[in-house]
Amino acid sequence: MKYGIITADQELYTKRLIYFLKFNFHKPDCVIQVTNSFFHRIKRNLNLRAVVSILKAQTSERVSSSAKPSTDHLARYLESLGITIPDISLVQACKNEGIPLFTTNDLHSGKTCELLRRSELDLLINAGGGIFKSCIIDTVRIGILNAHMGLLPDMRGMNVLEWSIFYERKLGVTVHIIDRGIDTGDILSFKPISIEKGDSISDLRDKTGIANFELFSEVLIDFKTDSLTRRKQSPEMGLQYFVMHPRLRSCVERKLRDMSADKSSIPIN
Amino acid sequence: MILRLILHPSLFKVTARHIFGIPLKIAGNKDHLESAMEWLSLSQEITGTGGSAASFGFESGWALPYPETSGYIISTFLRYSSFVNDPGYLERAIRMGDWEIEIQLPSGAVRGGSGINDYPIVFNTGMVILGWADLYKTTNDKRYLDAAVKASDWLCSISDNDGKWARYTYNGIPHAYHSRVAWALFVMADLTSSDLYRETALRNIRWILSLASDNGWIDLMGFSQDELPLTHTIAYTLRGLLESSHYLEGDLKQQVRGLVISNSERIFLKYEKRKRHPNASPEYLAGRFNAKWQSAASFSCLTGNAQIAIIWLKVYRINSDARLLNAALKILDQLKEVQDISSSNRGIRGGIPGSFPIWGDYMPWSYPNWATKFFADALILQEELMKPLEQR
Repeated sequence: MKYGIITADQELYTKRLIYFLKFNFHKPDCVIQVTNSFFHRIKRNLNLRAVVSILKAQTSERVSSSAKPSTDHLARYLESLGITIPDISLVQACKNEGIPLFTTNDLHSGKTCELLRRSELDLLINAGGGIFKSCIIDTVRIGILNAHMGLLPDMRGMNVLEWSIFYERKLGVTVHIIDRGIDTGDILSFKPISIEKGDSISDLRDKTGIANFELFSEVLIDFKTDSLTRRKQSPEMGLQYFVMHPRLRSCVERKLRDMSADKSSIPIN
Repeated sequence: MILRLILHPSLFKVTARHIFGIPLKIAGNKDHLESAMEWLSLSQEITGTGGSAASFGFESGWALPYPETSGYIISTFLRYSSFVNDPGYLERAIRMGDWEIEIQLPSGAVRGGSGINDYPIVFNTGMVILGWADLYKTTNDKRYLDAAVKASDWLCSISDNDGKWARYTYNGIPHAYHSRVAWALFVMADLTSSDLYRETALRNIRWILSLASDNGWIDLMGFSQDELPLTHTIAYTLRGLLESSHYLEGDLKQQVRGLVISNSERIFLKYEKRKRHPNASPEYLAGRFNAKWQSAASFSCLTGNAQIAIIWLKVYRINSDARLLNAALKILDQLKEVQDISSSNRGIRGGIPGSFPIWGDYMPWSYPNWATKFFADALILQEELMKPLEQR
């Protein structure tokens, strides 16, 4: 089985994923890096209102990413396994590991499709590659794997970790196959995560990274051993959620603080 | 117009911001609400009558007082008076209600158009009844109830057998947004125990349901049959149905609520999916929709957006779907981004334009009083609904 990883602006995460999967005997056959730069986004949306909208999105991304978790949970987890992540670029890491790295500045360009077609991949792991159109989806034989930060099919779309806390639903990660809808492809596996004392939203987001890695590894084994079960979703199941307004996000942060204040570990159902 | 823009920097600034899509900085809700209420107060003072000027226009300045919208602005003044505990706004509401009584037609109907015209209009009558009913509930002054009863009697006397109002209507056609008139009659039936009011309102709601297609679209939601409905009149229709549903029972109640909830979800999904980047804020909601619920305008009808926010907030209160609350917070932020609360021009300061951009199809180059009214109503409701979440 031949598989690759596709990423956009998630260099550290991808590097960690490569070393983790290699540690678990699943070294990827290639990595595709989409250099979806700020300037390319501006170029593609050449009108002022679009530029303002992108600038606002850029600012909100910076604001949410500036809320760092108290601990780098993923790094600690990798350390506990004895995996060392060298302080080098993704390009250098791929070179060192002998993994072909392809770069493209447009995910949906003919060049990218052609590149993927030529690679003849069975599976592609999405490590923050973006939203995939059918021209990309169709190039991978089995499909593109995505780790979604919530329980599917109930919680589709954006900020589902926050929405799960808001509604006191089960927290965790679902790995599914990407299809043409939003988080509507076949479900492969779910791993719950629990809230621990002092956890913030950023802590929980960071912890989902651990679940992503473990799930990807488990799913790859299942694919290799032909023991994977795919659960179909129908569009009527579940709801699609959207980016949470800062005022509701503050309510969620407060709720999380209250929930994690006294207890050492809180399961949510 | 160009000369006016050159001579008036405040008008030029608004135009430039709309050309380049530059949003204003958002302040606290309290500041936006206060500023909107000050604009509405000024719109009343400027007429010297008790009624609120229909709009502030770039070319024509303040318009004549508008009986229809003054009617429902009464309710906004009352709500705000109790929200911030300011009796000044109760006095304003009373002055407005008294003016409406002064100009009520002998038949009991409310006059059409802005200024003092001699022709009655069904919709306007319903809107003023809502204001009088709220005033009566607040002050217990029977004059308001009597005026509302006279107006309700007139509405019942001209209702068609099938429930629609086809005479004395805007553009001479029946409208689905007369659901708001039915709502006014339900309120009056509640206050007076009148079976006639209740039956007339019920017939109208059944007639509106007969206009609904399988996809939830309701015919005759627009101002005329030649143009697609604005979100303003779509929201009028849905709000009238939603408020009427409180007075219904059994299957009919479920049917009406189901229609409102499914349509408000359709509009919510249209809004949330209109974005250039998954993390970006949604674009402005289109100002018109077609019968397939497709966006059908390049401008946004801002008063419609405020009214849609109210519907989302009210549906959230019914079904606890916080996605609708979330969307309402976002669409209200967009309205705050076009509400200039520090303009040197008092016609602009605190007001909400009819369209974005300001030259859009709906009330171009002007600030209609109902846009600011619905915006203020939405902010008050938002605060009421956020309070329990933020106190948890």
